[in-house]
Amino acid sequence: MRTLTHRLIVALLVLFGILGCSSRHVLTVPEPVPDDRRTIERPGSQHFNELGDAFDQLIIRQGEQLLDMSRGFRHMTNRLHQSMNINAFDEVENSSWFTNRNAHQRMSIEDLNQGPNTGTGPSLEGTWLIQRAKTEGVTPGFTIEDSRGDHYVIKFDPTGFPEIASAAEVIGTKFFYAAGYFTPENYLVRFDPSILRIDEGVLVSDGRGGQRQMIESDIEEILSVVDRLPDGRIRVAASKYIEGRPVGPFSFVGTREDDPNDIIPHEHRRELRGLAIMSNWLGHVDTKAGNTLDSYITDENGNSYVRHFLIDFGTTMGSGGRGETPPYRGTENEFDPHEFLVNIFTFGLYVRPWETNFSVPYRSVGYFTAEDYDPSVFKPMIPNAAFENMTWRDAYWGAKQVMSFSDEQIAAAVAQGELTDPDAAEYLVNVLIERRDIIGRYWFSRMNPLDNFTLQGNIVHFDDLAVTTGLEDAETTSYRYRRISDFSSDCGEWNHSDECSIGVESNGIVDGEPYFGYEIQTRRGNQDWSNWVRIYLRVQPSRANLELYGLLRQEI
Amino acid sequence: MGVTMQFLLCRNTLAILLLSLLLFLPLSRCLADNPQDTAETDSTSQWESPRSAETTGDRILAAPGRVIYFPFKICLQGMKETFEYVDENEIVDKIRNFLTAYDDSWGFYPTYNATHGVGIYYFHRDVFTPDDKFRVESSLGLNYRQFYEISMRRVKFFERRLTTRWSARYHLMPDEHFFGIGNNTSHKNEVEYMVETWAVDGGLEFQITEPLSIEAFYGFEHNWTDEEKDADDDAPYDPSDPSFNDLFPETAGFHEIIEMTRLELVLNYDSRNTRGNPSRGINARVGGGFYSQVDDDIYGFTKGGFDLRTYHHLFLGRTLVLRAAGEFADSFDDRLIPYYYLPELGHYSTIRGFDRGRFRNNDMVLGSVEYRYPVNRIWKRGGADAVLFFDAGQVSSDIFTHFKAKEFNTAFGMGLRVYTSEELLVQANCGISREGWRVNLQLNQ
Repeated sequence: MRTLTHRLIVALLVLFGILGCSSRHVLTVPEPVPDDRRTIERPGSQHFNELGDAFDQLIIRQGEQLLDMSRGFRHMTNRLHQSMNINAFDEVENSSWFTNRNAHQRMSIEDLNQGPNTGTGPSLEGTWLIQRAKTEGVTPGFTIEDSRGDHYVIKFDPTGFPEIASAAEVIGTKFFYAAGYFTPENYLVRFDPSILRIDEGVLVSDGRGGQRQMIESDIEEILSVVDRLPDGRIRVAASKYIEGRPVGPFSFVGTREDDPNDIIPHEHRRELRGLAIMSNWLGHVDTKAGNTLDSYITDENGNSYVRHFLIDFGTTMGSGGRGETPPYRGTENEFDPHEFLVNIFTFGLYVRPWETNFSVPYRSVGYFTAEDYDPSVFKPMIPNAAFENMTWRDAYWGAKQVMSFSDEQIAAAVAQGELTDPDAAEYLVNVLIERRDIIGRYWFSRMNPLDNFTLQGNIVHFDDLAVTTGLEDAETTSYRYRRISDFSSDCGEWNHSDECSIGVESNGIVDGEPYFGYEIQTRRGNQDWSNWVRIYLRVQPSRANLELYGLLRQEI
Repeated sequence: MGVTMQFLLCRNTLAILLLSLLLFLPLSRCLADNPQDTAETDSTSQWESPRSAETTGDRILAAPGRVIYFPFKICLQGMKETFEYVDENEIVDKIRNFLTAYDDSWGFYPTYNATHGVGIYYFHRDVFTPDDKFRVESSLGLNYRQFYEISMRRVKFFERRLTTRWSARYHLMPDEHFFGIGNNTSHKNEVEYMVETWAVDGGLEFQITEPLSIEAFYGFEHNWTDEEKDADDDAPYDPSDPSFNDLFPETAGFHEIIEMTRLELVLNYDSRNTRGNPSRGINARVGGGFYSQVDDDIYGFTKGGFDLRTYHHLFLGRTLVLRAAGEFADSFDDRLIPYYYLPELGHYSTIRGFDRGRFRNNDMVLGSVEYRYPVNRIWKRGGADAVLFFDAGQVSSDIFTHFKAKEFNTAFGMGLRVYTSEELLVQANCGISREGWRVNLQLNQ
């Protein structure tokens, strides 16, 4: 028995050793991902059930992962699979999933305010024809057709929490769209309930598992639990039907079989992994498949393909759908076996930060705070496979999206939520700014935040994002760099610079080596040198000039 | 010997090391990220097949886990499909709406506890007055265990300060256990018996102030006890399995039909902040009653007692519940007390970790400390608490003159409570005592 244990231990040690030591950092230029905006046949609508998905994500997939030794070893040795849709510079190209926007080039306040909107929202002239209605539950709602023939999902604020969900919906939309995701057009609307009419044949649940014809009193019942403005109107978020033909939500795992453009498993997509950081910042805990939508659209180039949308931001920031968000959200899954067991066996002595600092200063904002905010912890309500596969490089990319928002942009986006209480709006802006900076400090201290590399002559210029975003002072920051090769262990001498640029050798190519690189480290004040970033150069195949070839970031 | 073992161990280690290197060096290469190696391109089509992040090494390493998980996954997938079918066809809604009214004015609910068995109860609210509740329960357990009850509760009059309730029930417990009288009984003398009870009672409660009320009961009970009523009643007599009469021939009330009336007066004090998961307040009952045999003078006694529970909020949802209880029975006019009316200890409501009715005698005292802490919260709608508890109690013929601290029977354990703000839904406890461990479950009690 002892011998067997001994053998097992030795075998495991050997395995760990191999997995841990065999990772030599060399540039691997990822295989290019074909443009996924090519015309395809219209896919069918995907069957989707929220309960089944929750069971899948909470139970089936977690069990599978638990017994997946490969995954376990990769986690232990920190050799997780990198995202599969990145280019040589660790960025994502524009696709049917994502468009590089604010982090690529800062949007104007006007563009940010405009967001995905192409109009002004539902027409308040004429009537709103109710075409679907949800009469039961704590969050009732309508689907309407306005006098222009446009369709909108009308979402109410929960009783006693005026503005909370509608503001979150609109503000969240601005941020996610500006970051680069596709979102619906969400508008804030104040309407007079007298414009509501019931379309023919509208069915509602009879509360007994069946359906019946909707009648006028159902409208009254729905509106009876909705707060009204002093003039009798009702403030709602109106979400315009997404363009194209909806073909069901997308999963955060695997690919869509009937979409030949979809070849990258979603859990290995950079923009979905990095979404964890955006969601963490904005408290978007409800990142389940049910809050996504695929739509078969035809774009401005005439190509018809599936575009992937994030929808429903009503439970972002401090909004919890039924009121303020419960304080544990974001740190625990809705049912979290791990936390459950930790709670049981710590006998109530383990006190979580949210247990002590729960306060709701503004009912229109809900529970949203920067106090005790830990950017390393984020658990959505239902486990998300893409988030669970996130590497530091993905997180850095996500942090870059978050840090791309300036104070002015944040204030402008919050203003779109039209919070009546200016103190509440100011509080929300401050919390978002603080959380943004906490995220930036956390990830920009773990990853060397040198970015936007360009080559001018023999000088490589770059931005130090920690400095450009104001987190660190340029005066106390210095850099060192040296020539390196992936093909030999020869390294050049360290050179030092206080500027965001390095001089490179114009004839740095050694015979037989297709490219060469420079390793750059950063020092802030008296701290140690940071993780490195390696920028690689090669001679252009057609001309004799140097060009940037790729980039590699040290993760641990 | 030691040197030989060391040599063998060393040799084995080297062999394993070499083997591992041979096996895992290629595997390590496979594990290295190289998308160009792993991307599978379909050269015959303009469409590329979906790529996989998994390398050959990943697949090899993951294979054992996948094989082990496969049967579980099949089952879980089946469960998932079932959930989806139930959800999409609104089967839960349909069942709930079939079994309960939309406004919760009537309904059927499942119920379980160890003395009644598994059952269902029907209720109907607001029959005579607002808040009243008509309830019919029917439960069945192993060995023909049966419980039927019809009751009317919370019928309020006179500006809701006077409340009446009444109930009629039938309870058959075919395999109850008797261990003798006193603390020093043992499982060696454990016998089983059957008890059948018909009872009707009515009560009148007067609300003195908001938390304080006084309640009077009058009841009639028809009891019959006999040897254990087994499913196999025709089984031949087994001398190695002693009967109740063999071991406890002098026990009052056994093998008899006894009809008793009772009159009780109880003072209630209830200042708990919620019913489902109280964290503050006091719940106390003090009272006494007079029990007399109908149509005969053999049995008659008085019984008094108290049950005090105090709830102390410690911090952040952690609650300490302290309990002290006592019950004291005394016969009058040289009459007898049927053994099943004696105060008893054991089971979930007294000392968790012993069998039900483990200790009986004229008097009983009980103390309990319970620490509840949250393990899962459903925001504002309820949650689950874990419970650590320590129970101690003893019985005595006269607790005031024969109290012995060393005779306390103790148990400790852990449990789980699932509750809403209004009621306790499920309670499961595992108590450990010197006689082993006992698990108890209650549902909708």
